[in-house]
Amino acid sequence: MLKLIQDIIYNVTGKQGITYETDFVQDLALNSFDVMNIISAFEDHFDTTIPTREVWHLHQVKDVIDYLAQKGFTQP
Amino acid sequence: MKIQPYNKADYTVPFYDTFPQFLEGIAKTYGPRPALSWFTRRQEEKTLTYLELTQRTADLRRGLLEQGLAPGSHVAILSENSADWIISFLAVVSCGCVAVCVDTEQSDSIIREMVCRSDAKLLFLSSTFLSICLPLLDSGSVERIVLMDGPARDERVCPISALYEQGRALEAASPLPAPDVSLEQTAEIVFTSGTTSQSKMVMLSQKGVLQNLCDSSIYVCFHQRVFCSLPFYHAYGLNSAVLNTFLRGAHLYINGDLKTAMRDLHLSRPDTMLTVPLMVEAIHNQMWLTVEKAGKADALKTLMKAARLCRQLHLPVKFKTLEQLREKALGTLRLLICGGAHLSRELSEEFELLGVQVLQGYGITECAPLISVNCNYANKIGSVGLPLKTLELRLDDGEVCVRGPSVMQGYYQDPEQTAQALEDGWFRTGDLGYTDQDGFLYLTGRKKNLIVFKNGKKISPEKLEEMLSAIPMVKEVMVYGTANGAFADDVKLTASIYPDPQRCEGLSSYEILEHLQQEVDKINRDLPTYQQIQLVNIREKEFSKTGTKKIKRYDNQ
Repeated sequence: MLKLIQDIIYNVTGKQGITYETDFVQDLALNSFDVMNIISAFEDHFDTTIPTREVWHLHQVKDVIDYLAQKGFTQP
Repeated sequence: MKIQPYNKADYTVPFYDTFPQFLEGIAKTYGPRPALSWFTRRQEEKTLTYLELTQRTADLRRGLLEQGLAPGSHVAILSENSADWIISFLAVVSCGCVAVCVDTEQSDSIIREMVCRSDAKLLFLSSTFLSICLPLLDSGSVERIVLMDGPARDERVCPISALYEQGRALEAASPLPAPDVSLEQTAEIVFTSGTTSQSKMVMLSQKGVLQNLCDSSIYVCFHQRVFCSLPFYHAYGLNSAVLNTFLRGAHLYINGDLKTAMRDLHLSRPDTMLTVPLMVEAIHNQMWLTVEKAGKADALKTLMKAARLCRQLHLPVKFKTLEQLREKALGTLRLLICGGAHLSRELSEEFELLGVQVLQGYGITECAPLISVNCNYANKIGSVGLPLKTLELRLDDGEVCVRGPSVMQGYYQDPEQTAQALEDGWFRTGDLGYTDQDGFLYLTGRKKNLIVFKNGKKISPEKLEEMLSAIPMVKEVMVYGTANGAFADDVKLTASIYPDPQRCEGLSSYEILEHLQQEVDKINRDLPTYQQIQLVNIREKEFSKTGTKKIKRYDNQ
């Protein structure tokens, strides 16, 4: 799952070196639009919808993995 | 600067004073043309013509009147961008009521507080906000909720489809003439960041809003396909983008979700886009990322250099590679209108080299919102353009002050703040600037204590300081924007905290910082991304203060 997320983030933002603890805003200095674009790429990949107000709670890579796991997505 | 003479012959579009006139006019003038389009999740394009848009508005207006809505009543709209948002707005303002545009990017409690303070008794909302607002119905703060999407599972909630159907049947049987609405009737209440922790409610009149649209038409010509992903609850998105496009009879493509903004931008193939620097930078970054991945970044940089040189020598910039790049990255886009925050000169110039004109404008909610804008035929990069013709502009000790018909009526239920902001009709913007010999306005800084982000959003640090002060370990706190790049609006929100010495006894600096960071993270969880505190630092001494014991902001950053 981490590899998939690394690929998505690289494709959208060009950022590398992503770990479970990477914080989108504090570590990658992404703005709200970048974060939304990443979430949109997750949505497309998993064919799901992540409500915008829930995106606010996804600060780190592990938050995204936990969120997707709660929705039943564990496999790439 | 003297007021510039103008007359109605200057206007390139019809001139309207009230929204009933506006709706009648656009239906008659542009009838069968496409007015509004959007894309579904499955990328299907939906379109309404001007006739359909105005007919739907008339149906909904009739449905609202049947609900016993009296002229002057406040009706709140709380939803993501959608066609129904626009139709609800037009229906409300064209029956002489006041549309309260609620910021959807606030926390649940602030949204409820905004609706309550606005005295709206009827609330249009999308299902995202239903559970947040049902308590308002329980407490009696709101009398009626209209759900704009999906079926209403609560009998106290009325689906918008029921209002449309009721109105349509009544209009078919006996259409009502357009309501008689006064020019001075408040049309919109828009929330704005203030220098206090509570946002202020700006009242804009029917005449004020429409005058602002008409004035901008003297300077800016749109092409035919316009894209907008700006939120409609801000005056920039609603007035300058949505209503302005309709005034000109162009075809507006809207985006309801930032997550799909880029997708919809490509699908709609616009020639004109109204946006903020954040989006311009995102398009720019995406373009360069693609070029870098293809290993052509160095070649493009060299080509850009050559193109820049041609421009300096007043030679035509004609490079096939640049044209191909524009076609691939920007499609049919030819005009970018940018406002809300400062856009860098370098970026504007780069887009111009690619054949896309960038017009920077300047506005503020209290001015409905446009104050000045560059012209298609006279564009000075680095300036925010010429002041609108009906606005008087004065520089008071460098501060931009404006007076004219589109300036707000005041802040709702706040005579004190209104008196401070308006002096003999002059509105003090809090922005500092100067004008050149041709009358173009340049902004140099801010007098008001606001942090402005690249997405055009503004926040008063006091609002965040109030939240942080609630942490027991915090004795004093100051929030400010730290430079995070080359440009003024590239800021990182930073909280500088003086911890309470009594509560920190025996703890190391590291432990204090760790504890504070955990508390800040908790606060961040309920805030939209752009409002989250990105950096926390602790200080060993109290902040230096003024005689009235206020923190001296600029001495302590």
